[in-house]
Amino acid sequence: MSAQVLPLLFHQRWRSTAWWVVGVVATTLLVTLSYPSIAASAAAIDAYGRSLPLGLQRALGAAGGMASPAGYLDTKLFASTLPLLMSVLAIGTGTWVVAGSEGAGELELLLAGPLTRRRLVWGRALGTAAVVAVVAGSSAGALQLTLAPAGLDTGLAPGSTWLAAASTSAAALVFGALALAVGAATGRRGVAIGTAAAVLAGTWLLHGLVGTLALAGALRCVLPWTWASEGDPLSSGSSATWWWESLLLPLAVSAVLVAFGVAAFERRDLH
Amino acid sequence: MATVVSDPTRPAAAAPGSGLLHASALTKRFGSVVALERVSLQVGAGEVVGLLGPNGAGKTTLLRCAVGHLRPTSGTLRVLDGGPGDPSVRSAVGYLPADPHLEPRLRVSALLDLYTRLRGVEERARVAPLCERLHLDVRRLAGDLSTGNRRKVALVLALAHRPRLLLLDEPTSGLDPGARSEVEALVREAAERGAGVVYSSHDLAEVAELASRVVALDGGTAVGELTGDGLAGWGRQRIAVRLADPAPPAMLDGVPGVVAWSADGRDVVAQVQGPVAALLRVLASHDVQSLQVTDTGLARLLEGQRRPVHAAASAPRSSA
Repeated sequence: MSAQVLPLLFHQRWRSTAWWVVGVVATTLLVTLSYPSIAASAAAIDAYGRSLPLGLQRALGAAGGMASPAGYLDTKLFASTLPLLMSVLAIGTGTWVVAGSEGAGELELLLAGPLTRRRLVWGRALGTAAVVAVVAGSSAGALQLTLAPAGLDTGLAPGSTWLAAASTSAAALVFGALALAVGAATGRRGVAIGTAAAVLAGTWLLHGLVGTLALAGALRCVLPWTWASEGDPLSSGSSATWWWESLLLPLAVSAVLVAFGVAAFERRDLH
Repeated sequence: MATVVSDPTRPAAAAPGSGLLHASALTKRFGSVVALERVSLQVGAGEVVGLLGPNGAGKTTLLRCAVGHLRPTSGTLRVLDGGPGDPSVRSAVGYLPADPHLEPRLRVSALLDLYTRLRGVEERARVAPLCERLHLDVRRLAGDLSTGNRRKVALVLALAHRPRLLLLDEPTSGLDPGARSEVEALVREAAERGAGVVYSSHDLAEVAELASRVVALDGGTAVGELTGDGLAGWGRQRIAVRLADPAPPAMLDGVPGVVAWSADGRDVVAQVQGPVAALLRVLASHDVQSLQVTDTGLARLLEGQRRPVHAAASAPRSSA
């Protein structure tokens, strides 16, 4: 399905992906190499974290304590920074798949040949997943290399940083797939970005309120960042909850959104 | 005095029934805007059909329907005996959009390679000769190409797989005269190989040179159709000059390209088919005070034929 699409996609996206890798790796290194200076004030930081409202603690990933390696990585990287970066990347790439590319006039020639809209969208959706995985994976790789030198290698489950990066990618892909679907249905880049960003902001806010607001708790089944945090891979490693809730559920939702996008794209005019 | 010049290079009209493209009562609306209104068109093997009309006439809409980018609102549209969106159909169609967009950061060579791979064209050897004929520098970045050169790249992509149906939207727009001639030659060769060609333009002289049939569109409606000898006269230019002295008798007799001429004292009017170089050489030997060139073109054609024609209007109306 994607064999014909991916070489072109690689040529079109490798530069921006490379810059994303550089940025995310630099952010990761900044976080890990700052740990030794933070660890000395662990007790004070934990006390400050506990003084925050529960919702904010959840949103910041500080509920488990910020001074432990797992808590520190969760707070500084996996609870907010990496998810937001990955979401921006996924939304940007997902928007490009149809709406961005269509707005630039690229699809006029591309879809004049035997390549179908379905194959184009699914091929590019897989490419989007690969781009997000490569960038998140580079963050996990940089983390893995610097855990021991930074003193962050105690109390972490084996391979936990890879698992956390995978669940972060999976949750971000939901928003990327939403941007793709809206872009495929409307052909409008601004609408795709706006819708996905609004849903990201709304679900992020509700995720922070799970546990403090009854409504947010009731809606947890539609909050990708709650799914991603439920598995707690940094402390627990790979578990059934992580597999089902943090990985497979967001991937399945993403696939459904892409399928909707394909169906809508096949039924409308190319702008 | 007017003479119709038979052009041996003009592809012959297709035999009826060998339709590569069949559009019947095709209508396309964008909301309340009617882009095409019950337009019917047939294109046979080896036939070059010109689509002529001013901006907004519906030429591009018709071609975009034929390549599957737009879904007709009503009417019948068959391409190579299939639906325009069918991948097997599109693999045998070559399409040149009016404004081809190319990935700007790719070199032309890489872009051609990727796109032909996407099409599954095994014979990539065809790409190089086409680039050579169009003087295309494949080492350049696509983003650095001029509009004309981007059009050449898209034309190579449209021709490389030897399509059975070629849909060209203003293929010579922005091209220099040399490239324009080469494009016209490539179109003729495609037709000689048996491909059907739809050639959209707003330049009647250009279309009349190439096409065996011209369908004029205006406001989304087919307003006229020219074929054979009726078409030949439309490819001419009318050149009017005022001389300092009365025109000598037989001044333009036998001048290549001049198919008709008349003189009234110091005023001379010539109808020229094709290049005007020979006429200009003759005029250079006279004291020419003014010269006016009029394309015997689109406006005159449309003026004379502003009545809708539906060649296949009796065909049953159905959804494409």
